[in-house]
Amino acid sequence: MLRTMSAKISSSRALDVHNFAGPDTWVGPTPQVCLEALVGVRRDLQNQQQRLVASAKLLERQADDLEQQQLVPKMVS
Amino acid sequence: MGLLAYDPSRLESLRAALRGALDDLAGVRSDDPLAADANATVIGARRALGDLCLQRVTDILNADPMGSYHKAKVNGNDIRQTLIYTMRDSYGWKVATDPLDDDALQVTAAEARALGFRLQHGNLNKLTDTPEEVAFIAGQLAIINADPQLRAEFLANMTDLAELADKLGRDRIDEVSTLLWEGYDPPVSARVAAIDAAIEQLSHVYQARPGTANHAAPYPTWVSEVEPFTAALLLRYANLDPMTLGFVANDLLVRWRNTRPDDEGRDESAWTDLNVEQGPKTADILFQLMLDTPGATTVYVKEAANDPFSMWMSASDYRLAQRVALQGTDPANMTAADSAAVLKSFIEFAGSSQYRDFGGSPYLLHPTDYPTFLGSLVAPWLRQFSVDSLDWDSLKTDDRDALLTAVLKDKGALGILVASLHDTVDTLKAEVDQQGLTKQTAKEFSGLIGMLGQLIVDQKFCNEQEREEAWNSVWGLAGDGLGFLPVPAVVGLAINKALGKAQELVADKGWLAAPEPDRVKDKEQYKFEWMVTVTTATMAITIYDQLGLPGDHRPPEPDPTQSEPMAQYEHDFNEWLNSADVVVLGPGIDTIDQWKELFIDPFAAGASLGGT
Repeated sequence: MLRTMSAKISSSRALDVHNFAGPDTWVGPTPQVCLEALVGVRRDLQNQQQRLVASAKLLERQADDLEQQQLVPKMVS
Repeated sequence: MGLLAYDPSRLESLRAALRGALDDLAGVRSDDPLAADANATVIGARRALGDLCLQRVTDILNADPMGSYHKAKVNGNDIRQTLIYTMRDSYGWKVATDPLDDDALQVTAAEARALGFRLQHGNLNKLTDTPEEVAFIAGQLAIINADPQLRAEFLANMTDLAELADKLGRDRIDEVSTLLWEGYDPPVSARVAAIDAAIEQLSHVYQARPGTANHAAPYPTWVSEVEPFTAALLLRYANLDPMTLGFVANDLLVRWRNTRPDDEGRDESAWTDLNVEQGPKTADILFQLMLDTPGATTVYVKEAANDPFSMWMSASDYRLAQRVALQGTDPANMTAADSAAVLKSFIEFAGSSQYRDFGGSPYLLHPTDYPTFLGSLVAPWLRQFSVDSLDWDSLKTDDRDALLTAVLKDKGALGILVASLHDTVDTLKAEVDQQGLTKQTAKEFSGLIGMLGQLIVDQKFCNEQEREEAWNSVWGLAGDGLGFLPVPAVVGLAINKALGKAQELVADKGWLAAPEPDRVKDKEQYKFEWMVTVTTATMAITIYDQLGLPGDHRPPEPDPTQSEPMAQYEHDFNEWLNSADVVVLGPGIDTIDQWKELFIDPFAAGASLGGT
């Protein structure tokens, strides 16, 4: 699920919308605020997307470790 | 309330992009506890995209007259609206009101470009007609200067900095003139302060402009792009090294003096600062800047010696030029070899037609006291005029003679020189303390005294009181001369002990008091010879006594009853020498003879130089 969410974020047009909001489109106080907001949105989304991937990897590694532990023969006491 | 400008079709594209982004984020969510932060971020992103951006974009496109964003006009003559105006005027964008105010402390690349574009192509008279606008330009340039990228954007759109710089420079001339005429006026003062701030930032732009300067060639070539006055203002903030500043200042003043704007195809009949009565001129600005930059004045006066007219006939306050000359030629700052050429140039300038016939502008005062000022200029270098000085190899004796004569044509200069004699003696004494007494030092001193004594003899002073005062000074120096005894090895420390004795002897005899008025009245030649004779005789006797030689064969004393005391003394001395028992007196007699030769002969030589 984490990887799925990450993939949705990375394919979202929200990551590119700031390209439409630069000084080629509009200029002034409000345009500046909006542009900065969109750049901030992109940055936050990308950070979360990378964290989701990292969390997924961590879970997968933990699962692998557990699996490996179960395969190791135990001495019978 | 601010303004914004937009391209309608592009804004439509933005609206579509925002909607698409919102659609994409609508389904982005996870129930995994580890995705809690991501879920929150997505919600925040949707709010930013929707409420913050999409809503506003829609409001702008709808242009509701009752809404926050409605159609607006832009004042093309307000530099603070330059970006909005430029986009509307040059690109056909629409303009709307903006409930947010522009943040003047932030400059975007677009704003830097627009500022450069408007300043290059706009009407500068209207764009800079209020202190607030000029202060805005200064503030924006300060931010732009702090960011090389912004500066590059600005310069890409403003290739002609000179027009703005000259506009500000001319406005400053007018405003300062107004202040000087009408007194303190807060709005005018604020405008001057704003102009100075803008000039400072423009100076930084010039200095950072590609190709303007580098470490190998720090000369700011941009000064030739603007009026000299503007260049002077800009240089105040250019942080040039003293040598470069000295060279640049001279180049500017030569250009200011020798070139007229109409020679370059402009309409004005003269440089702007020359046409305004009140306020500093180009030279005043540069002179003050150099005075505040240690080392610059010396470099400058060496250059200005090639064209003294550009230095002495340029400032509104010519005393600034005098301060520059005094500081630049101060022996602490300039070598003796360099001083010869500079002093020669400045002295000869006083006799030139350029000085005498200067009409120039009514707003430049003719430095009428220049000949007197030369006395102060020459005073620290007085000993170099002596025939015995070795410092001025480049000047022949006749040249020195002519130069000093030119200076002393002015009674004020003569008075200054006489008054400065003690300083000259102090300098010589300091050399003696450091290097020991040399024949050269003694010769220079005695030649100096003789030179000035003869000047007095020649009655350069018309007023009897002036003459008496001058005599008193020279008379006192003769006493100082007792401290300049040559000390041959054979005499050694004994001579030093003789100094006190010599002074006692002079006091007891009253020799250095002025001769009796009745007998020598108006006979300056007699006074001079008497002084020299007394000095020589006193030391001869003192050395004799100090060496413990037999008391029945002392050297002769000066005879005040003689009409030519020096000639008489030389005669008496030679007789004494010929009759002396060399065996009894030993090598001491040679010492006394050397003293007499060393002191009295250069006196005569100095007198020869001074008697012009």
